[in-house]
Amino acid sequence: MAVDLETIARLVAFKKGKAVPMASDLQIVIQPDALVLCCIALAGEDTTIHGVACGPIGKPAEFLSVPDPRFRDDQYDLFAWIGKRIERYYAECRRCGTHPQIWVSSEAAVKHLDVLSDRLRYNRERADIRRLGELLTYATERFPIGGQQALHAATSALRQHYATGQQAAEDEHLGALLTWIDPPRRTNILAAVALAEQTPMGVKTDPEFDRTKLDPLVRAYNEARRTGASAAQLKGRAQIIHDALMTVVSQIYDATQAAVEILRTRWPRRLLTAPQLQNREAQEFENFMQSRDNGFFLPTWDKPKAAAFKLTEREIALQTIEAAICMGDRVALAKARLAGRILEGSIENPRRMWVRPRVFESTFDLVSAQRVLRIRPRDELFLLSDPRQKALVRTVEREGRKTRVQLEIIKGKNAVGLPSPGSLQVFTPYVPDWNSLTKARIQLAERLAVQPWTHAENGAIPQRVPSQLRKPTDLLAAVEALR
Amino acid sequence: MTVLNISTPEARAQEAIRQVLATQWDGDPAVRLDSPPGAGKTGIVERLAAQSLGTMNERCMIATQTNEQAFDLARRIASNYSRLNAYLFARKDLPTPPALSALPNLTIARSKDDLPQGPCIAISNAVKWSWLKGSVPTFDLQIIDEAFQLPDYRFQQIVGLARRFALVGDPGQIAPVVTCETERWRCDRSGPHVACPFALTERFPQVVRLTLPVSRRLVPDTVRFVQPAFYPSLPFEALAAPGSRSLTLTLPVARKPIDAALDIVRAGASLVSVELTPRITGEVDEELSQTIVNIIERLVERRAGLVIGNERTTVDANSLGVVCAHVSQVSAVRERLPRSLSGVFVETSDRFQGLERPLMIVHHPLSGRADASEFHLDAGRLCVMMSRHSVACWLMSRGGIEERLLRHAPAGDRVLGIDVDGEYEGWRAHLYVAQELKGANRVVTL
Repeated sequence: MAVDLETIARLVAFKKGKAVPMASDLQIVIQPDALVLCCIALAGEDTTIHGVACGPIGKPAEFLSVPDPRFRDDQYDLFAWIGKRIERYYAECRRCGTHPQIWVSSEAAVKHLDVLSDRLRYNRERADIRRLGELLTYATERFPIGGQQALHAATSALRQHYATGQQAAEDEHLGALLTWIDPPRRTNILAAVALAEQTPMGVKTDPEFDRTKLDPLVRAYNEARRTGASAAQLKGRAQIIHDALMTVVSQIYDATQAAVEILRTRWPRRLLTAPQLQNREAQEFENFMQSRDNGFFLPTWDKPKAAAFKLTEREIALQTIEAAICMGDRVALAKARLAGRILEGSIENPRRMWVRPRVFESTFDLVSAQRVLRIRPRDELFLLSDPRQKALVRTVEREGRKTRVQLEIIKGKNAVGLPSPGSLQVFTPYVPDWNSLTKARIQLAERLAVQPWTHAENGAIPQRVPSQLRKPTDLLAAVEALR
Repeated sequence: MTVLNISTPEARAQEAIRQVLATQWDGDPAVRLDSPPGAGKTGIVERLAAQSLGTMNERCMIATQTNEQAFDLARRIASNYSRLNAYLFARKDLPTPPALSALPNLTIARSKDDLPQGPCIAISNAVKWSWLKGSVPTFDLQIIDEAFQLPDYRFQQIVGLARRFALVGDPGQIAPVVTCETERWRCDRSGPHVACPFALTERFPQVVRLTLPVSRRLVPDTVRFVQPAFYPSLPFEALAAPGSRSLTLTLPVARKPIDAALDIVRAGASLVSVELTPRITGEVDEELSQTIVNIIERLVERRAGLVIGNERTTVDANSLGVVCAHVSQVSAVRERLPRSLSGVFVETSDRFQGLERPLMIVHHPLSGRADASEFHLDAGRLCVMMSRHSVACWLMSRGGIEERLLRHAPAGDRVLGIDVDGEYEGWRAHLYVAQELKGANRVVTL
């Protein structure tokens, strides 16, 4: 049903011709020194960078391009140029005890960086290229993890805060998304969006631009190089390619900067848990860098133990960030209410009954008008306004369009006390536990200290060890006799 | 994989159990037991545990997927094997059902120190076992109940607690729930997100694999549809003889259109599709929800009864279940049920796993939809829905599902190294069910 809220918001946006906010608080952390990185690949060569714009948020970009990234030395020099900037930025973050943050235009750009980091960190020709691959891996491996702040796609970040009047997949074009957020005056929104979509915003140039402009320039450069043109001539041809590429890259860079600026200036309310998000990212960053300092290898293929750690971390991170956003953001809370993931209602019959000396039982009914509820008997819920209180669901009874839930307080009977009759209360199955990840890692390290044969590397199935006891003639009868 | 060939279904079922029990005497380090729906998995888990402690004098641990399953299994073992002592290993502050405390041979262990050092049966959910701190004497046998619900990364966290493993479950049902992004491992057939029996046999194909050949719950008429649709590589049959379970209607005169759906069951059909006018309704279909409630009310009005073997019972709220794909659909049915029928169990397919009712009403996952997403096409989901009943099942939907399936263009998101195409399997199963029901004249149009 949360989908319905988003659908309604999209319909409203369509009617108004302008995106509508879908959050009350800023859902992410924006590092003041974050780096904007916009790369363009050569068509058909997904692991190349033809041109790049790079700069801190709110600052102009530095540009670099190569005439043809298929020339390996030129390409490596460009990678090294990026690597130098990333290395410097990471070192500064480490010195300050914070974490780096890279902004790209879209999820397509994230995938491009992911492919590059996977490829470059195994480079055996140049240590600086391998190092760039490793450093980028921090950001790209963090990206799928809930609540991460290492790598942001501008489109994803904006989509967390706005609903547009178009389909979700169309929001992946940053230019279109920005047009919905700030539509031009006296222009039809759909016409404006259609115009915005003419400008490339991913990691590829426009095919028509490639065919009519870029390809002839690159061919001419290669021909000049093949025929032994002078350095000055080659430089001149390279400059023309650079100028052509930079018109494309600079637009992507400017749009990404605009997205950051919108989020930075129009969303003054930060999530209550933003400091915890920052701390967690800083810890993860320091752990990652220490592993690099110690020379640990970054695998592409996880062994079972590493996979168990990574998947556990992802599950905990997702649960924590969803609970954190729900506790802070009013729109997220509304979505959770509609989806029945939280329980909201008015309190009836609060009572405290004597059980035995110094033991009392505190129960109350909560009457909810929520159409959808995922609450079941024996679920344990936390009071959203004061999670010290925990209650056990005893019964759930549907009364027409209302639901009566009887709860028993199992924690926080004295510290929080019984809710007052008639008051509106919200209960949630999860509250963010920022220590859960550390606790899980310690536990996993203990549990997986010795890898059993089932998951050991090159493990072999052990030999059968038949029981030395006398085997009953009829095994089933022997078991039935135990009844 | 061993398939048995013995004369009667009952004999085959018993021989399969003996074979499972024998693996423990033979000391097989791991056994994967694939079971069709209603084949008595829990009974086998009980017997394996009872044998381990009662006749082999071993330490046996059982891992379930939820606390509720652990409570239920602890109750069953303690009640059925009153001479054996069982331990329910539970979190310090976890409230347990009072009925468990009343069982004299069941101890609720709140810490690992409460667990015996010697032979025992200890039951808990897999997560609780994974949080066990410090060392405990190694268990001889670890039984994973509903093992196809346990992702491999969770199995890995408890596998070190025992020497031998028995992974018992139904391979045809809903895959383990992993909410986070798993793209990194999608090409890995034994990846951390994969159900642990699949991952284990992928790493060690020589692990002993057994199957249960008989469903005790399903009747032959249902098996005829369910087995080819959802278990093409797991042949099984029904234990019940044809016609041994039936629905009776004391007031036989059909007066309402809905009666046609009841009469076809009375005539012997165990699976019936009931179709309303084709319409795109979205997730919640008020009219379909009301029709589901109408069928329940009509069964009671016509004084329906159940004949199961020699037993005759009257249909009441406890005989009936409704299973839906979405919680919102569950709510839409529940709010329409009259107070007298509020005991009808209405739940989502995820929560209905492992449960059964004599009569089931299914809110078809593709009903009223304009699209067919991976969630709604999931073969496991429809399989769960169509295999909860022991007498009859009504499959409720908007018309036009077959046509929509025939028009469906699969996303074709194939993964390198992975042979199984979940979307295709789901599509095939859905289409098979729709076409076979139509071919058998099991479609009632309202």
